[in-house]
Amino acid sequence: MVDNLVERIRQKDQRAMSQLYQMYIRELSSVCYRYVPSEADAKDVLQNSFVNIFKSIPTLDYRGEAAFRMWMKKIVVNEALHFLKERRMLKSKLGMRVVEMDLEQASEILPSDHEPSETELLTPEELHQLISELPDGCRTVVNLYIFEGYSHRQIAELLNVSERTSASQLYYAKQVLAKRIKQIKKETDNE
Amino acid sequence: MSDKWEELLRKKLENYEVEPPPGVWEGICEKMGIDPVTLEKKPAMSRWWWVAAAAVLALVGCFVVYEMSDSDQPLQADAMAQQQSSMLPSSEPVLAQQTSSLQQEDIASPSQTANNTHISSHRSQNKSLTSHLSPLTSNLSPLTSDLSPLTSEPQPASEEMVQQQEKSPEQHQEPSPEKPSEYEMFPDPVTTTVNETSASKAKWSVALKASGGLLATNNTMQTDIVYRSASAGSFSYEDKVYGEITETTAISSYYDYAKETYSTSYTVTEYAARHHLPLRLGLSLQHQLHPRLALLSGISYTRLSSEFSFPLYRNISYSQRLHYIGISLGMAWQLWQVNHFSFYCSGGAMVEKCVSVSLDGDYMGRKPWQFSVHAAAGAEYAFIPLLGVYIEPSLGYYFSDGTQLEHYYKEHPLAPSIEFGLRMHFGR
Repeated sequence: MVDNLVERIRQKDQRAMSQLYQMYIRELSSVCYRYVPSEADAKDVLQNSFVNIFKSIPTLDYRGEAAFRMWMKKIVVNEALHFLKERRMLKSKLGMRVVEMDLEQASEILPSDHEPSETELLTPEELHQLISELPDGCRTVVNLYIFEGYSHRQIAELLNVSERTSASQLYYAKQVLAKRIKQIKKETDNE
Repeated sequence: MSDKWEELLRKKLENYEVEPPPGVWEGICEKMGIDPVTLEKKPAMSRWWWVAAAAVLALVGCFVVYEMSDSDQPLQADAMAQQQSSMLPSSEPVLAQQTSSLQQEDIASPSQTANNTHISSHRSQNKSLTSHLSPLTSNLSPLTSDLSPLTSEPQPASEEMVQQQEKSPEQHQEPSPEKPSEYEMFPDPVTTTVNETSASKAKWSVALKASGGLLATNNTMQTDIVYRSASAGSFSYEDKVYGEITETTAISSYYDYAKETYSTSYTVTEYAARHHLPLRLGLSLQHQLHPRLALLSGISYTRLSSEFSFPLYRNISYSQRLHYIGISLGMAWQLWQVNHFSFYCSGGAMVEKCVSVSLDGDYMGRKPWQFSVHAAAGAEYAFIPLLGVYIEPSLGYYFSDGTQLEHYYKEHPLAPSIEFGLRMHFGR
């Protein structure tokens, strides 16, 4: 079915474009908001992403719906990063916390009193909100490292920072997230 | 510990969806030069529906006109036969009929008897003339009988005429030819010839029909191989260079890269399709070329509906509706007829045009043609000579429509179905 939509988009079928948009916009909006929490900014990023998706489809070697979906997510992530770079949001924020750490240490470290069961109780909406509240720099690293599966080396190349900066941002983000998750757990228990 | 926590976070947001910011699609349309209206649903009655409705009306209209002109001929023939019978030595049968009707009118309106006395005297004079002018009056009788309803006042008959009328049935009754019974037994279907019963004598038949598929449909899975990173534990498909998305060469080769980079692979279900049984409604027309052989044609509407789900993404599922208008052409051969039952077989071809493809209410552009051939065996039970019900199991072969649309006939090209309906017979 998706392959049919792709084929029709290649033939400039506008209805197929609208159907593809309707199929994936909610999922891609979720990805976009993780990088760009502002509604107005997310709107720009999503618009540019879909324009690029539609323009790239004619040359795309379609290899199944799962791969196609990942490809679209990647385009949204690229567009979000491009947007953040253009606004110089990443460099300034990352520069604020250059705590260079050992890579292995940064990847493994977690607050000593963190319990995974606390995260289990978290709803997707709450987690999404917590990530959105992170500073731009470490939010981007968390997204790239945890959700996109990039290594610190790839993140460093991508964001023009050192690998240790990426690791420290991840460490900082984990600390903040763990702390906030614990807070939410306490608030829930008190209620 | 940390990996598990990261995995937990990843799973939490794996299928998370949010409402998009308002105005995204409009902005895309503006940048792409697309009409934003394409997101809106089309009106329910598209021009194809109007064409189909007009075709059905035209078909029915032509049939009715033809049937009416055809049915006038037997009436004229009957009138001629009556005229010929009146050319026999006595013309009383015609007059008797007239007087009978006149007498009835007279009884019905006694108050007008006085006014009609003058007329009745003229009638009695006329009666004496008819013996001399019988050939002439008999020839004119159809005309006068046609004109009689136009006379404003009822015309009583004379007593003499009434007496003649009373005598006439016995005296002048023509020896009627032996009428065949409505339905005749055909004890031996092989050796007996087809006897023209009321139904088989009908020149035209019109059927209102409905049919449905018989093959249950299973979930058909479309699978694909994806590659999983051995180290990061996440899906990865694309290039390692995190550059601009205009790198179309890198994008198009992401699959090859994924194969080389990531060590483990597995098969996932891309989507599952469930096709519902097709529903067909139609109107068919049958013309008897020979007591056994008939030419069939008809117009039909077919609906194919399917459900698609994507197991990887629990929130995504779609329903598809395909609507076809078709025209069929074929032949039917009567095998056997006994009492009210008749058995037949038929074969033919059908061409259908997809007039609407909807995906969860939104309309898609490509509407294919569907060609098919059919063979059927049927049985009809006629309540009355004019009307019968029939049931017709059939087997159809549906050729590929050349598109990637998935539907019931793609899953079952050789599709059995059962048709039933009402059949009306005309033009005996």
